[in-house]
Amino acid sequence: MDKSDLNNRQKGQLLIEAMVAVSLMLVGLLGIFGVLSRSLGLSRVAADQFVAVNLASEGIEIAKNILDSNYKAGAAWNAGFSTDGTNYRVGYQSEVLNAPGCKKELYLNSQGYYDCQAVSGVSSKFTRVLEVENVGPNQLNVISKVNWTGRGGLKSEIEVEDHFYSWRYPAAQS
Amino acid sequence: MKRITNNQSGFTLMELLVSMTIFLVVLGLSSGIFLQTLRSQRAVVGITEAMNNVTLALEQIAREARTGFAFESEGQLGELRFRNGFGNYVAYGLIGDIESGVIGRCESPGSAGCDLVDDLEPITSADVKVDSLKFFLQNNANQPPLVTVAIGVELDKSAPPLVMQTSVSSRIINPGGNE
Repeated sequence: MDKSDLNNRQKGQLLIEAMVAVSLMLVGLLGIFGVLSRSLGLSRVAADQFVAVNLASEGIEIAKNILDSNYKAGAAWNAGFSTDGTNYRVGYQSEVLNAPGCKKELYLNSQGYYDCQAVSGVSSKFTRVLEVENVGPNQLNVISKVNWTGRGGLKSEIEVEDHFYSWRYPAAQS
Repeated sequence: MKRITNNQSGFTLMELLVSMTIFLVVLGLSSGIFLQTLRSQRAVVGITEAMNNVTLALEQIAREARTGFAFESEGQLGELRFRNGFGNYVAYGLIGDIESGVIGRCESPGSAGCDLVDDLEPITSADVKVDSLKFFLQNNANQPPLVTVAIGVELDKSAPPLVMQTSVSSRIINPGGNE
């Protein structure tokens, strides 16, 4: 009787020990798994950031193109940029800021480009605005801001800033 | 004697069943998690690789086009041709047909040096499937050449390709003219 009692108790402990060990192992494995699936989500966030950075620098390049077009046309160097503002919209085919129909939301158009015109476009998650700030008559700061909302509802912003000068023109008197 | 033999006799059927069940459950759970981990690890590496390759190609095209001139034709193009800062003739496009999914570049001092399909040399990895490469070139008298590059890349077989786009305005606004 004594012996069998002892035996039974020992068996019970063995089972509990095993279950504790198993659950500890599972918690550890689940932790590793959680970290890895989070890294998958983060790599998608990184992919969005890559796209946004390129779209933001596109905004700057379009501003540069408009400024150089002014020079080609013999217009004032900052024609179209002389009023400060925080909500200018441009797209890859824009020849001026705030072209008619140009929105801050970017659409993937039927040809496969991100465009500010909504015509026949599928809306993407990205929005872009340019901020223009005149610093004296010979300097112009342009800030290109791209905003988007990621999959998990995370709002992100990328900002690119560039400074333009009227070096092709004789200096204006301030 | 009899007692000793009883004590030494192995496990009961019940014990065997319980232990095997626990063992199998643990094995099933952990191998499932392990497989899923491998799968997501592969996806992460694939996405990272794709983004690295595409960003590098986009940056290379943009940098070279920024000091480029004598851009050929305009509108939507599958292949971009111009002369770079050294005066060499440069072409960018998808190698071969669209199925290859690899972006290629060619540079040649002669104007006809990049005319053959085989002239393009790969600048992205064969492991990365570039779904589309499109150029939109605005090349007219009113503005400096403005090149828009859009690269579609497959990150995930089930999702539509991710489009990366940037534009670059050539700094050479009066080729041949006196700056």
